[in-house]
Amino acid sequence: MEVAGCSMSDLLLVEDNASEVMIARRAFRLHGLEHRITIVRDGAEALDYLNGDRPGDEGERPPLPKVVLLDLRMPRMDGRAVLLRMRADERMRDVPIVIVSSSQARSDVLDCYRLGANSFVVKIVDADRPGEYLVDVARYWLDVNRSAA
Amino acid sequence: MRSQQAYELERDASVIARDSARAIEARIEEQDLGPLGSWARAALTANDPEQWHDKAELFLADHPAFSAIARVEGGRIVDVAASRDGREVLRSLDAGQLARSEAADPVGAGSVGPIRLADGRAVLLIQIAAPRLGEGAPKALAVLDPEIALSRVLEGRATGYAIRVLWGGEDVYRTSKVDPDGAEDRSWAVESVRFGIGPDGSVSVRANELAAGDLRRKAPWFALITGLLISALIASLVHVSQLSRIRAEELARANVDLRGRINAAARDQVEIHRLNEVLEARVAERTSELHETIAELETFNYSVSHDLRSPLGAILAFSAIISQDYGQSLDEPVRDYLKRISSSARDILSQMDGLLAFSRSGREEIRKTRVDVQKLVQALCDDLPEARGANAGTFLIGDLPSAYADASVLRLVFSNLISNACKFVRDGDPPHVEIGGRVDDRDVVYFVRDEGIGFDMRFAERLFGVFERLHASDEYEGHGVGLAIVARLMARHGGGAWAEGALGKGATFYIRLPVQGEADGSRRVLHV
Repeated sequence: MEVAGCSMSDLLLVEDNASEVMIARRAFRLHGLEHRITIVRDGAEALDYLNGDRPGDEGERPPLPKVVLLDLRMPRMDGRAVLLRMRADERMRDVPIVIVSSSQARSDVLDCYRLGANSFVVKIVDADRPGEYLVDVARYWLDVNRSAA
Repeated sequence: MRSQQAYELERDASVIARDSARAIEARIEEQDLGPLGSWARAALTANDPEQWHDKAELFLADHPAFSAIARVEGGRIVDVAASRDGREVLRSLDAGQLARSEAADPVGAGSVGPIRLADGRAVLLIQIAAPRLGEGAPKALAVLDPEIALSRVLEGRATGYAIRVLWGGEDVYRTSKVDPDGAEDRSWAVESVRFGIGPDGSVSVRANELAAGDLRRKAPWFALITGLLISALIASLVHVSQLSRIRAEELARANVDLRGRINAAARDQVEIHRLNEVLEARVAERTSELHETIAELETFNYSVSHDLRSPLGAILAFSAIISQDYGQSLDEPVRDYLKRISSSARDILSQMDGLLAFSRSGREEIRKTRVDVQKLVQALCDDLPEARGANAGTFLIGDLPSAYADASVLRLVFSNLISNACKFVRDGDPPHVEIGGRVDDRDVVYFVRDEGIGFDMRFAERLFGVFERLHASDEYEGHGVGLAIVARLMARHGGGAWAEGALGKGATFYIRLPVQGEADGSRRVLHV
């Protein structure tokens, strides 16, 4: 699994919470998906990654991921802002975006769909199989879904 | 015992009585008898039969109290000016009466006195003479109707007068205002009025204070109309005046009292109004404060539950990770501790999820549409795990009327009620659930009935409280907010929720929604 400088990731996970990153990473690893995942820690970093603006990218844009799993509440730039920018960007317009949030508010769900999210997943606290739901989501978007991008 | 006040009243009454008698005297003289005197002189001086008749007619026209005037010569009536009534009176005079009238008083005018008519009325017969012309001069008789005369005299005066005429002690005339039963009360004869025509032909009326008894003795020889007693029922006036005075004082006192009360009431009203306004303002203020507080609490509840959820999830997750990834290398007590950490965190999570759900039920916007409840409930039951498998329950779904409500709310409510019905069964029993509904006048009511463990009706209210549970949590799991959410969501729909049941005999949960919404056609959606 590449965390930085990766040019071949199928899935970009944008998550600021360290524990959740660890849990997600372990779950992906257990299911042999770690090499297809890139994890960034906030919205700004996500856009830098997608635009090839990170140090080490040397201006070269990586291929777009097959799906972006996007947390809503994050420092610096939150999920909504990322959603807006991606949908306004010619190149990233069609990249599937799955909102992964602990919010269950209907207003949040509606907002995100209206801003162009393709899916809304409420974070699941699974005491027996932590982070497994992310694997389920990833499997679908990586292996089942056919996207327009 | 006569109080000073009673004495004063009596004194005032006698003054009023005297004044009234004088007023009556003045008006009788002016209106009736005065003109008669002057006319009599003129007529008799003229001594012209033609002229006499015209003047007599003219006089009668102007003085309605007189019904007839007759010219008498040598004890015989030679000319008459009269109304039909007056003619009758004259015709009824017998020779004796005429003779008496002619002989009555050679120097003045005299009265033959009252004559009682066949119909019971009394009239006064007045002889008019011209003393200066000597014995042989023509005479005249005038017929006066005392009722008309006195009613004219009394016309326009305060009510309460009554007139009574006594002749030689006999009650010959009374106005309708005299109480026929209270006749002989001496007090009402305190004032009398006498008529008289002086030697010069003028007519006078004098007030007298003779009592009725005295008049009886003295009456016959008075100058012209001796024995005529007109008793204005002064006592009645006195009585009335006393009464009026007392009543007036009472009224004045009552008025003062009443005005005081009205003012007090008005002040009270103003005060009540002011207090009401203050109260309303306070209620509005408190209500708005309360709403704010509730909103803050909801927000607090939501954000706490929400924010704690993530670290709690981490505790659970890492407990699981330790146990799964490193469990083999852990000693038994450590694994036990880890299990306890995990199970405690699970409890907290469950409660927080309940709180979150409850909080959401109060915050989420309600969007009402026409909901096909039949379909909704059918789908819910089909999806239940209890609907399948070896120990599958039975779900009896009746005809469910549609509802005007938030579809997702209804789904949640029915889901809570049906899963409750499935949950609270006796050990190992498959659930038997019946779902029905009906439309009342203004409400649509649904019920979910089970044959499970039931509950004690004493706790029926508590069922709908937050975290209220009637069973130990390790017996029947759940976070204890399901029914609280149902109650709250129904309340937010303008409806309600209640339960009936008995221990060991199953339970029935009802929800009620207002039918309304049909009028709200713009948002109406059929069979969502």
